[in-house]
Amino acid sequence: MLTLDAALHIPDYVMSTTDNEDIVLLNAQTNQYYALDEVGARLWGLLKDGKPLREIYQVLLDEYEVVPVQLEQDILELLNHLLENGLVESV
Amino acid sequence: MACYRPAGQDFYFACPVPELAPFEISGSQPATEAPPVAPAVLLSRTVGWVGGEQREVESWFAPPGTLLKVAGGSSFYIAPSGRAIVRVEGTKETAPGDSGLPAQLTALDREILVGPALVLALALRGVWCLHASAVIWRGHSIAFLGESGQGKSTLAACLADAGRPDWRLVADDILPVTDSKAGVDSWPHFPQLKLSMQAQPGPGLPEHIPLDRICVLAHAGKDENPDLLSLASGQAVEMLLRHTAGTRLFDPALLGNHLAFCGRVARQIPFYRLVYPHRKEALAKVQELLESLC
Repeated sequence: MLTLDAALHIPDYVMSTTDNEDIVLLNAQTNQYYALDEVGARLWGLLKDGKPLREIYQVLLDEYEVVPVQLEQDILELLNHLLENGLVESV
Repeated sequence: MACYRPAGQDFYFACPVPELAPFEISGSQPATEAPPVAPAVLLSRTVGWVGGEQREVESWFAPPGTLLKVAGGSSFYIAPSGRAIVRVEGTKETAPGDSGLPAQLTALDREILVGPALVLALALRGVWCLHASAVIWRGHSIAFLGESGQGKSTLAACLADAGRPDWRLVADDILPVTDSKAGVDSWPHFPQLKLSMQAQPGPGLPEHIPLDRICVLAHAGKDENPDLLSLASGQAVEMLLRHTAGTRLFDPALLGNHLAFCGRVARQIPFYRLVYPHRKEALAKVQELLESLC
């Protein structure tokens, strides 16, 4: 089961738009696109910078008005979705 | 040798291509790029509407370029720069010419050539073909994106009919587009295969026109009125990705270039969701909304 202690990275075949408020991801192996909203885009940016999940969680907690338990649940749900679609991989 | 300049790019073909005749230029073929070799790796296999029916379309990595194979038709090699499209296998429908291939392109081959082959070659040259209709009103151009059957061709044709002299058709189904730091441009010199030769909008228009706005057509409910809503840039990127022709033939590097293009265009020009009821009396309101944008 995925937790905030997991180590994830973005594979080379995953590309993303830059400088847009929302982000669109491309899995170039499957030619599938995925859109992330503003919070998802912020998470993606931090993940791309190599931040560990716990630090990402803390940054988002500081930046957005959100209940901590709900934030953790939302982050893990999104990451599970990204994992299932090959947009991130376990290290 | 036949030389044409669709979408602002020069192409040279061994056989004449009547669909490209309005964009014929004089010129001589530049040095031939590296010849194709046997296809090595299948890049993609998909099914597309070509030559009046659904056909299997394959793209193969054929170093150094790409080989496009469409069921029932010839194969076309596309150089990695997109500067050459060469027919490399012929069907046996007509007598072979000097090259061992039919002297004239069959109707299906012409459709492959000005369809997926040209779309892929243009993409390799940084010209992306949107599945879109487009119009121009008093110097302002608007493209309409939408799924098949959503009315983008009908809307553009209605706006540009004889009763509205300020409106002019730019594209019916395919709109080549480029971007630069100066803005986004559309390239109307492109064959619109669903229109007759007489009805082609491209020949009477400038080679490129700044693209000012993009509207994504949305279905309207039974009694819903026309409406325009701004789209966020992420949604705009998604719409461009979804409505670009030929992406299933792109290799990963080209997909990356295309994604970057979509991101840039979404930042440069405004996108709208246009609720478009397919009712005659709604057209005046749609026109009013679109004019208010310009």
